[in-house]
Amino acid sequence: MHYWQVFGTLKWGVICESMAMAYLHGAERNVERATIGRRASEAEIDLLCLLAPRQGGPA
Amino acid sequence: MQDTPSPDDLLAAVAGYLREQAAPQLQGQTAFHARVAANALDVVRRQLSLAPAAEAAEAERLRALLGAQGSLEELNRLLCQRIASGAMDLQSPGLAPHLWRVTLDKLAVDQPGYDSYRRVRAAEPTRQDKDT
Repeated sequence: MHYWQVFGTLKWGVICESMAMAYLHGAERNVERATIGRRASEAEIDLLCLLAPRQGGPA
Repeated sequence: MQDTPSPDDLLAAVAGYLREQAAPQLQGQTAFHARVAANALDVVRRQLSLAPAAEAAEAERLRALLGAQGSLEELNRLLCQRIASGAMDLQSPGLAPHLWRVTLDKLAVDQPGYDSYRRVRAAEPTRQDKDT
């Protein structure tokens, strides 16, 4: 279960980054592709919650 | 020195126009993209106001953590190398708190409304920032 949560979260982060790359390299010039790269940080915080939970904080 | 309005004021004006005037008159994907565009301007506004202090603090932590000098990008590259080589991991003193701080600072700019971010921030005892 934990493995698949990590895997799925990481995958979402990689998808966000690759959509932003598609924009930056001119493949898809639209504003939605351009901004989705900034949603990779959502995957980042979720991965930290899964892999390095803070003591006393929410897992 | 430029006159007013400031970059922040101009960006706020354009974001407001896109969100409140343009988007409601548009349809389908074009309306959606107008709202995405307004959100993108909000990201830029938050980055302009928050990133300078956050990045200065990040560089300072990295210099201490790595015992090295360099630009923020160089220091981050070095950190990646040390993690990839196994020289540093989550047990390394200070690394996990550093990664958490970096990520929370990123979310404060990118997605302050993101559910996980709000939950973590709500549980944080020390910092009382006013971004919501």
